[in-house]
Amino acid sequence: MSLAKQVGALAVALAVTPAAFAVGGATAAKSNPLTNYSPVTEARLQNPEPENWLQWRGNYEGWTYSPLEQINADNVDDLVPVWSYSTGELEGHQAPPIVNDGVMFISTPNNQVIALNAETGDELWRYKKEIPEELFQLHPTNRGVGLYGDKVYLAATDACLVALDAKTGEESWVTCVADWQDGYYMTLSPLIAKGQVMVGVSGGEYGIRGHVTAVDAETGKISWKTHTIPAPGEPGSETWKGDAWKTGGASVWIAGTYDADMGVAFYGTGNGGPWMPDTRPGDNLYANSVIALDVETGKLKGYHQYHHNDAWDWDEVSPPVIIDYKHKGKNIKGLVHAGRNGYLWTLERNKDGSIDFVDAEKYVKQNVFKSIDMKTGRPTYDPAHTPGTGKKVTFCPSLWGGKDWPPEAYSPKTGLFYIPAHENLCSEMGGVKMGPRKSGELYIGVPIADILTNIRLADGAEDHIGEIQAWDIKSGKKVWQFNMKEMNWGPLLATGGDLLFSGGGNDRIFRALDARTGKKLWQFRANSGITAVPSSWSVNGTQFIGVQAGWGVDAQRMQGAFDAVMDHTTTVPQGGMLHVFALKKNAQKLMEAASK
Amino acid sequence: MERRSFLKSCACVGVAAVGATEGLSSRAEAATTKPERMRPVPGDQLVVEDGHGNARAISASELKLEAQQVLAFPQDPTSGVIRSGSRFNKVMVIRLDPALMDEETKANSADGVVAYSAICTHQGCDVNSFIEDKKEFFCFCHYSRFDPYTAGKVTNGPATKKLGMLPIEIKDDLIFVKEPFTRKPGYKK
Repeated sequence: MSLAKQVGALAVALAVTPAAFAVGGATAAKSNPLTNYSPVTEARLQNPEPENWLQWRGNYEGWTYSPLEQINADNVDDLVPVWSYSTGELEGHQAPPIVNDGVMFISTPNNQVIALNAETGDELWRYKKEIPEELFQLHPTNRGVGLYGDKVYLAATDACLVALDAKTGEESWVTCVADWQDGYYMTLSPLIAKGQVMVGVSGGEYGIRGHVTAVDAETGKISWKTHTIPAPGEPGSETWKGDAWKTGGASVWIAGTYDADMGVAFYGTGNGGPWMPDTRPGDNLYANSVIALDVETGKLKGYHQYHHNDAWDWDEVSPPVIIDYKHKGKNIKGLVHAGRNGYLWTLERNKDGSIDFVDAEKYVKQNVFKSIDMKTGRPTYDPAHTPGTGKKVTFCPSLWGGKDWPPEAYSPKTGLFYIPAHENLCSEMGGVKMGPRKSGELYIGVPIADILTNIRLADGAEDHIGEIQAWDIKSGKKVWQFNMKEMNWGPLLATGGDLLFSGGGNDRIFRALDARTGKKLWQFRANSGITAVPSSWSVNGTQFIGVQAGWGVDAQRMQGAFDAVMDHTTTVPQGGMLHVFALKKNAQKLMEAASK
Repeated sequence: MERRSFLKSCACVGVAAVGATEGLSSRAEAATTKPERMRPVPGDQLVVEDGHGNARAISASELKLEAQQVLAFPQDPTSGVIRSGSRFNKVMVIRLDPALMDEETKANSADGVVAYSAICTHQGCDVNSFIEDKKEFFCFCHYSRFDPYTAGKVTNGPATKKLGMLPIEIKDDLIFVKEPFTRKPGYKK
C-alpha cells in the first residue's frame, strides 16, 4: 500500500468515525476538513471566495492578491507564527499554500504533494510520485498544484500530469505529455479552465520544442497540444531557418493567466535555443512572446513578441497580468508584464484574441535596446551588447533579467502593480561552437563555467541589487521602491489589508511592507531562504498568511555566481518548511485547539 | 539484489567487495537489460558518441595532462552497441600525473589515464567540467567538487559521497573497461 493510500485511508476513516483521530502524528482531536470537501468549479475559480486561495496566484488574472483585511497595515506588528511544517525536502520550494475551505495543498521539490488542515497544520495525506532513477532535475522544484472538481493536479518533472483524489491522495490518472529522456520536464502549476488542465514543458536548455498541452480534467485524455514554435508551412515558420525550429526551445514553465469572458489563456514563452542568436537566425516566433490560446481548441488567437532572436537567455515565461486600466484617456483591456528584458510592457487584449502593443518602459538598467517602435513594440538592438558564437560581450540586465520567474502582484485597492526586480546587475557571456544535439543532453552553446560566473556588477550594486517596485498602471509612473542588499527571488502577495508580503533574499527574511508606501512594517527570519509564492486564507474567522521557505534552484545558482565575483560568501541553509502566521489575538485560540 | 543488502548479507567490506558487487549486478543486468542500457562490463571500449549513434574510439595519446576531460560511453566491441541508452553509463576520461595519484586511483588507472562516472552523487546532475587550476571535477547544479587524484573524493559539498571510478586498461593506445564501476552511479532520491 502506498503512503498516500495508507494516509488517505485514514482520512476516509476520519470522515465516518465519530471519534476524531489525528492524522500524520498530530495529537489534537479535531474535525477533518476533508469530510465535506468542496468541489472546485469553474465559477469558483472565476470568483474565488476571499477565504480561499484556489490557484497559484489566487485568481485567473494573476493578481496574487487576497482581499482579506483582518491582518492590515495597522496591526501587522501583532503578526506571529502559529504553526510550521517540515516538508522533508531540500532544494527550491516555490509553491504557495493552495487552500480550499480549510484544506491546504502544498507541493514541493521531488514531486510531492502534502494535504494539511489549513487551520491546525495536521497532515491529512501525502503523495510522492516515483520518477525514473536516471532523471535528473535541472530545476528541481514545483510551483503549485491545480484544483478542479474533487481532484488535485500535479505537473511532475518526468513530464507527466498526475490527477489525485483530493480526499485521499490516491492517483486517479497519470498522463505524460512529453518524453523526459529527450530533455522535457515540468515544474509549473496547471491552469484549469473549461474542464481542461493546461500544462507547458520546460527544457529550453536541452534543445526541446516547447508546447502547451490540455488534458481533459476528468478522463486524463489529451485534448490538444499547441507548439510554441510553428512547423514548416504554419504561420510564423518563416521566422526560422533550416531545422532550427525542431530544437528552438520556447519552453513554457509558468502557468498562464486566463480571461474567462474570452475563453483565452495567455502564456509567456521562453527564449530560443541554443542561446546564441546566430545558431537560429530569424525572429524565432513564438519565443520570448505572449501567446493567446483558445482553451477549448488550443488555437493560437494572437501573440506579441517582446523581443526577437534572443541572445541573452531572457525567457519571457511570466504571463501578462490581466488588468483593465485607462491609458491616455482610453479604457484598455490590458495585459501587463514586467519583462525579463528589463522593460515593463503594457498590451491590449482584443475580443478576437489578438494582442496590441500599448507601451513599454524601462524599469531597470537596460543597455541592449537602442529603440522601440512605439507602434509595434519591436525593439532594435545594440550589437555591442548582443552576444554571439565567438563573441563575448557584457549586457544589462543580467541573464536572470530585470525580473525572472517570481510573479508580480497587483492590488485593485491601491491600483499599484508590484515587481520583484534585480537592478545594477549585468552579465558577460558569449557562445562557443557546438556539436550536434544529443537527446537529453544540455544544448546551450555557452560554457557552463561561463554561465556560473556570468555576473558583472554595475554602478550602484554596492548599494543594492534586489528591489520591490510599485508602479501606478494608470499614470505609468513608479510610486515607490524598496531596496534589498543582494538578490530578490521573492514572489509577492498583496492583500486587502494594504500589505505586501515577500521573501526572496539570502538573508532568509520574510517581510511585510506597507503596500501604499513601501515602508517595512514587519519581518520574520525563516529557516531558509524564501522563493515561494505566499498566500492568504481564512478559517473560522482567522486570517492566515503562509509561505514555504526552501532555498535552491536559480536563487542558489545566483548566490554561487555572487560568491564567484564578490569578496564574500554567504551561506543559506536548505530545507523546506511551511511557515504560517496569524494575529496574536488568534494565536492563543489556535494553540489551545491544537493541544486538545 | 540491492548493493547495500548484498554487503550486509556477506559482511564484505572494502573496494574489492564493492567491485565484486557491481560485477554481480552487471552480470545480472546482462540477462535482463537491453545492451545499450547495461552498465559497462570488462572488455567494453570507451568511445565518444556524436549524437547520431556514431562512435569514435578514444586514444590514450590524445589525452593531454590535466586537460578538460573527454565524455565517453562504453561500447561492446563485438556487437558495436554503444551503451549510451543510460546516462548513468557516461564517464569522464582524463589524463593525470601518476606520481600524484593515491593508491586506489592508481590501481584503477592505466598509464596515467582514469575514467570516472559523470553522474554527481548528490542529485544526479552531470559532472561535466574540470576546473584546471583547482584540478577538480565540478558539478554545475550545486557546485560540488571532486578530486580525481584521490579516487573521486569530495572536496566541496553538498555531495557527501565520492564519484565512482571505472577501472580501465589500455591496449594499442585504445581504452578498455577492466572492471565494473567501483560504486553504483547515481544517487538516492
